[in-house]
Amino acid sequence: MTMINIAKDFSRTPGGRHIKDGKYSGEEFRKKLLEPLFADRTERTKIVVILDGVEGYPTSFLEEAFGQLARIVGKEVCLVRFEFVSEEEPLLKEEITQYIETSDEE
Amino acid sequence: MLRRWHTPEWKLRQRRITRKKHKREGVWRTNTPIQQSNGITVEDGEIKRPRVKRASINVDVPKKFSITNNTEEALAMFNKGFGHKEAHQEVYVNMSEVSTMTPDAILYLVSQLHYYDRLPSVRIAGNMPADPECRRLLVESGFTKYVRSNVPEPEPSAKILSIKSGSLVEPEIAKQVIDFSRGHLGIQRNKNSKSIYATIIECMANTRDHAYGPEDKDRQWWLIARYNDAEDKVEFAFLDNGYTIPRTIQQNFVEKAIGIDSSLIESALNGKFRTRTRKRHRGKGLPRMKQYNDQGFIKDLTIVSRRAFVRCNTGEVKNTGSRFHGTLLTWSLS
Repeated sequence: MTMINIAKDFSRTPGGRHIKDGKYSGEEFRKKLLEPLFADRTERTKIVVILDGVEGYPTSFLEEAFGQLARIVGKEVCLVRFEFVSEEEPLLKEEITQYIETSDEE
Repeated sequence: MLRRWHTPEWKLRQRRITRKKHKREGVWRTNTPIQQSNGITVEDGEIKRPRVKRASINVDVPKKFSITNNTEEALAMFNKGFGHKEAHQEVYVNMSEVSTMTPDAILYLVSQLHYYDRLPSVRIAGNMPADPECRRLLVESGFTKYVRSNVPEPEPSAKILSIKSGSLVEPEIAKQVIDFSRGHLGIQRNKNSKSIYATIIECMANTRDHAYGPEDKDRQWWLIARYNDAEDKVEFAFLDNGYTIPRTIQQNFVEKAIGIDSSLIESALNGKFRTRTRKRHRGKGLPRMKQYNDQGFIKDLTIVSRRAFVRCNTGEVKNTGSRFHGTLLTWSLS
């Protein structure tokens, strides 16, 4: 099992969508912390993502981090591997799951 | 043969004239340099003094200076004073009669001054409100940092987070706003503060991604927060001077023909597929802000963009007579 604590491992102040938009973007988070875990497409180790401890989550950050990841590696593998933990905002887990599930809708 | 010359006395006299103008109390002007004559030129024995003729416009700021609470009058004033960027003009903004003022109006004024500061054809000056509360608010908002003025720099105020601006998404500035709010309202990191943080970042990101065209070099957003101690709430205002929501969102053929701005914004707030990127995973920022407002995490969400005015709490949706150049969002937290 791999654990990612966004507040400690990335930033307590998530930013916008793209790296070019500014600091701590969803794209930066995805490239630095998430994509390396999916380098081996056959890997099925659980990834626990702790969402607590940040100042807030813009939709663009979450969608770019998780939705775009699902578009890259496939939504099924994301749904299988990710487990989200949030005591401060329980509804966040559903929101991120929805971004993954709807990632292939254009 | 064309010769240029001026006497030392002439130069000294010009300097004295400039200094005298700035000695008057409580006046300000934009940073556009005062165009002096380049000197007296002599051509075939005839003295020529090239000057630029400027049209003069006096603008009286309404007593209730507020975009959200006195929309028509405030926007009409702005369009009168700031609407003619082609012609050489001098604009004098008379704020002496202002008796109430809200941060959103100050923000829009500063953003307009910033824009016209880059146009050498327009020179803007003005005075300060006679009302001491309004004057204090204007000074503490950071207004004088954006103009040339003889008004002394204010002490940092505990009740106002002075104007911030930028062109990128700035998480540190959003954090400053949250800390300011927490300091006054005594709240911990909870759903309310997280909603505010997310809303501010969404606004910055929207400005960055949607508000301006690729040719625009200056993609500024503007932000201010104030603690209203009478109502024990923090008021926020965020704006950009970009293309406006009605222009940037997707419209069908009928909407393009009829062009009802307010209904377009209402539609975007309700999550109808409107993002100009045409991608289903985009365009979630505005609906989420409305959701926060509906759930009570933020209050008084109001949007003014082009000719649209939408106040979410009361359901007030209308088209304004005058145009707002950009998009303004205001909300509060208590």
